[in-house]
Amino acid sequence: MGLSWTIFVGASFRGLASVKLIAIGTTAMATLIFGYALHPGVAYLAMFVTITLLPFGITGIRNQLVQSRKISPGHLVSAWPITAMIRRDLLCLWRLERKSLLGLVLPGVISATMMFALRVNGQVTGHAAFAFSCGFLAFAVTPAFEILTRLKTRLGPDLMRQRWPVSHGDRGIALLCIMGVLTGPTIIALGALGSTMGLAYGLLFLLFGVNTIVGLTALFSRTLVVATPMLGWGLWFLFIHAILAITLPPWAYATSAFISATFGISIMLKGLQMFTYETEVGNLDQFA
Amino acid sequence: MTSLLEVRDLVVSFGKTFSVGPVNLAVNRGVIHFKGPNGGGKTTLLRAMGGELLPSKGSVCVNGQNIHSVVQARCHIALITSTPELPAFLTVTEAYEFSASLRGASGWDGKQYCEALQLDPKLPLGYASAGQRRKAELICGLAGDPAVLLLDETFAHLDEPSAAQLSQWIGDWSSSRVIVLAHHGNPPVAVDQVLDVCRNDKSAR
Repeated sequence: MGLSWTIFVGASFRGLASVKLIAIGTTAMATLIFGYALHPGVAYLAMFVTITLLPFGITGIRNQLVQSRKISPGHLVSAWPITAMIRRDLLCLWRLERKSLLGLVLPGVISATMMFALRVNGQVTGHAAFAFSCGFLAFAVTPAFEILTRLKTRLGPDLMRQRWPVSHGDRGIALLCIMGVLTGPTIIALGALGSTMGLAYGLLFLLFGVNTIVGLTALFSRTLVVATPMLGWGLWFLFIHAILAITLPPWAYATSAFISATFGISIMLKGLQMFTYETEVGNLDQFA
Repeated sequence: MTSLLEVRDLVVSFGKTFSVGPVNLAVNRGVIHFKGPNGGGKTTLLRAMGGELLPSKGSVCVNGQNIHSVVQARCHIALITSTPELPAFLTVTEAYEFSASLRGASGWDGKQYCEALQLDPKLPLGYASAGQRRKAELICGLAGDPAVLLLDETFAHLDEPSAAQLSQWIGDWSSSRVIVLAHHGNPPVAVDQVLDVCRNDKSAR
């Protein structure tokens, strides 16, 4: 936990300093996990390092967040409208919601560390490794849903305007990609660290990750016209989805995942249609 | 032969009490002035023509393509609204790059317009004044050189040199584009056609 702050600090620096700090943090964590396998006394060393690094980490993050207020130019030139929307939305999150992004990194780092510890010290394999990966992923990507709702709050009607020469499908793909950027690193990290689950379970975990992305984006799109952010929906989806993936037989989960992903895309498109209609037409209609 | 901008029996209504139209237009170039009192429905008509509002009746076609059903047709029409809409976290350059990319014109450069309107391309929109935001909205509307421009009270908030520059541009563009101006008074440009817009207020009858 304490060492993960080093990675945090590293992520908020720029250039070589960032690479160095991330490398130090990751190496230190990996070394201590291996060390614990050899001797339990390493846990005391880990506690000492944590107590030393925690205050430094918190101060470092705070300073970096303050310093990073100045605007560095973003380039939104793109041959495809979808990539232009992705870039614009990510720029919005980077400039206005950096604290929320850091809040997404923390559970990601914790989950990846736990998975690594289980792999080294627990020697979990097969379905057990798959189950742990799904559970950790559901926990780690919880803030992603909230980040998308914050994006909606920041952009308002400019999330998608009816007059733009883009279809609801294009906007949907862009949102899926943004959710992919937010959750992708954790999915890859947990998949790689939990590779003892084997190829078949690995593919099932990939399906779990994709279905998580589609499900969260569909829920987000469906709640676009709701005035209050319904964060509970995202939590319930992640919890139930993880339970189903762990308890259902692999073939049953794979089938239901394909069906729910198709259904999710349909819900997402409907939600976006409702959003553009409500923001452009519905608001005026209230005054009639 | 299809006209560049063709508006057929366009009616926009909200609920049962307010409606504007029907409007019919078929033009290939020139300046059209939507004239009318405040609240007369000029902006409503422009928003429907720009693809933002779904009309109750009728259609709007650019180069023969209905802008409400063909997504790509909206690349050739730009609505510059009277209210600021651009997100405050973008700079002027980022805003017009984004607009150009949406219209599939990623190579479009708005620097010349920024220079002519004396607008800093690096200015964050969150720090821009009302006039500077107006200029930025105008440049974003011009991104990708759309064939049809719908300008809603665009001269408001502009300083004199910028208003004069815009008048000159409109004069130049009128030979090859369609420019529709919504302006409650007489606009500072030569117009080819004037259309009186007045809403049909059923509740007042």
